[in-house]
Amino acid sequence: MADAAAHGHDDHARPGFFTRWFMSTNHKDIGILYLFTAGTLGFISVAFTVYMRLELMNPGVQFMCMEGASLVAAAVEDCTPNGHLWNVLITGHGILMMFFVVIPALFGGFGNYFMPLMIGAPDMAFPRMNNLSYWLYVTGSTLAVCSLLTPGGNDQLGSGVGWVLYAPLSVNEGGMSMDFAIFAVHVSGASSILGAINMITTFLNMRAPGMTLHKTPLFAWSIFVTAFLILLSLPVLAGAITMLLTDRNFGTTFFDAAGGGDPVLYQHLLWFFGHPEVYMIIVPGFGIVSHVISTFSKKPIFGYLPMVYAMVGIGALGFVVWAHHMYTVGMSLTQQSYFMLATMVIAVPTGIKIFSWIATMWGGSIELKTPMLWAFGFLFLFTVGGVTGIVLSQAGVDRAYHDTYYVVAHFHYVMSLGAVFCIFAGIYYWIGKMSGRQYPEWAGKLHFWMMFIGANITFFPQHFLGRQGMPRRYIDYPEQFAYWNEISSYGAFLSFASFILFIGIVFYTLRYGKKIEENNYWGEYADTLEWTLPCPPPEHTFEILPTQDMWDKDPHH
Amino acid sequence: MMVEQTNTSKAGADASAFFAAIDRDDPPIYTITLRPHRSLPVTGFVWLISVTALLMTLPLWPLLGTKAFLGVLPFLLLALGLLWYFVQRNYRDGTLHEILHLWPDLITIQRYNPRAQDQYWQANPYWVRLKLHTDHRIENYLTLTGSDREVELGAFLTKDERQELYDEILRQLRNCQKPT
Repeated sequence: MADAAAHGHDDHARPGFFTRWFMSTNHKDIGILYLFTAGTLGFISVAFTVYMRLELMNPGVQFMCMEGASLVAAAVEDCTPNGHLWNVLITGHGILMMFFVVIPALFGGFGNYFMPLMIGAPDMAFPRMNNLSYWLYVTGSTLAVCSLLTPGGNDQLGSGVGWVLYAPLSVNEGGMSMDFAIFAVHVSGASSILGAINMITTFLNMRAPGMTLHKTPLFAWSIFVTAFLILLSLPVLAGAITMLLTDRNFGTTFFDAAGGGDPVLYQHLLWFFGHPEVYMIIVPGFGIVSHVISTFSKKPIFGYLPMVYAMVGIGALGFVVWAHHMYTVGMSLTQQSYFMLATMVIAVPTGIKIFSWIATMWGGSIELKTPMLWAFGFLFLFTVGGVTGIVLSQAGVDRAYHDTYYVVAHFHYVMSLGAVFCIFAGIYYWIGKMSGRQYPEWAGKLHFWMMFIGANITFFPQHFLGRQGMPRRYIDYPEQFAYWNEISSYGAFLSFASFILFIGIVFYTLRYGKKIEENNYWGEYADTLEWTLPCPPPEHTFEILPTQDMWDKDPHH
Repeated sequence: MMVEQTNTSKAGADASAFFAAIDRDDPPIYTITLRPHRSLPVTGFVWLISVTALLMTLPLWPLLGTKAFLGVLPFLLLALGLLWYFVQRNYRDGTLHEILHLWPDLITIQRYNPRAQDQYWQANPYWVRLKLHTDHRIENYLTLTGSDREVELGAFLTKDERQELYDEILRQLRNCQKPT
């Protein structure tokens, strides 16, 4: 025993900068690290898209020339189009966003910071493994960035095979850039699996006394569901890309028809991971939005249990619909019918969630603070993306829309607008809690409106382009598509401007923001456990387990 | 190395002295075992592993009989194994517990540490001072002082539980300390 800590107040000395941020085992510090790293990579990834929209603004190739990429438009006759550079940029944007930006921000960042707080745990179950997860993530993202800069296909830098790394294109891509990309995904996969196990153990075994599974806050539940999706699907991806690696380097023929393999098998394995992946991206967002809507409607969340089981249902269904990404590979009619119906069934749990959020607001006293605006934006845009999803789920209709800008518009509505709006909702909701300083309300609102308008101008016209038949993944297009492309590019520039504004808001808030005195500055309907702590919370929280009256505001359910 | 050996043998001496002291015929007048809180019951663990394993077979069925089966299987098994190991390890961390015995002339505490030497403490209850600290980082931090050593008790409990524990032990100690 623990000989008693000698004097009453022996708080050990606060760690220095290096110890605190580089060797951290504190879930709150690691959460902040995840958020900043994801933000940095997000900026790189968004910068790529701005350059791409610049190129697509007018027909013809003006910026990405073999003679050299520039930010100043060249005359069409002086410019030989550099399709490889284009391909590298779309690949880099996809890989970074899918693996290194959105999931690390929502799951790694907010999950690490707030899931243990919400369940009243003193830290994650395995704090040092948490540190390992973070640094593996940094390693993976470094490899991904390196992959853009190492020799690749077409005797140029980087590989341009798309984020899905489809065989045989990825098997035949020259240079080592592709191997870097594979290792990047491997390492980030290891990081995510360790993180997921940590989250699952924490969630199951470290809930505060009395907090049964049916009383755990929705955000904690969403992180648990996400962790489970990661645990079940990432090993399959790891297997698939390992086989890709041996096909590339050791002459195996898993995905090579000439050697008895099957390239379509790669697509099945990839999408068996890839479809749950999109739910890993959005489910933590569901959790955040639930708390935001309840807080600013000043009502408890409507239909708590259906909300929980809708998330579980979405997660489970997410595993049995993967082939709707590949209707055109030559599946039998029966297979296509199954995947079509299974996909449409997902609209049921998603509908439960959307209607429960609306019912939460119904009759509530709604306060349109910045986080609530983002949640509203999410609700609207995610529904739009969901509706085009139902359109695309039909195997027959998908024949026409496959690989057109309609698909690009659809998945950007659910992910770029859905998930990213959740990230911003979370940041404005909790930045005061995390930093102890509040953002200027007008700036947050300005950021929201710029982003909301910008993102809609960017992506809504892409539905039209898709319906006109413009294929995705090309550097150039016939001039008939010029009108909506130009408008879409203006939207992208406005969204990018809003991102710059956001960076400004964050740094202003951290340095000069108004100090927060209250624990629950959003009022009594922000009633999860993190709101019982000061802003920012002390280094160690809930070393003493919280008691039921601290979190169970609605004991009769 | 030398240092470690010294520590081990000292701990060994502590342990033998401790067990010699509590090996007596009269039953203790008061005994309590304190355990930290864990929210997943063992049936929950069985459910967790079964459901995970079942769902993990899903991508494997269509791969039966192909080479790709062996490409995917090891990663799934590795993930399942890691989940098993880490939840078990978390349980093991939770096996930490403290046992307090009280006789009219002896009070002992044994602390079982999952990944370190067990710790022992014994004293004469007549001289033991029990204190509930109000100025500590841990609310209602509970300590006992005796045999020139101050030891903590139930630092992993909730503050209300420590308050109850304090009242109970204080009552028991007063009983012993009453002149006969």
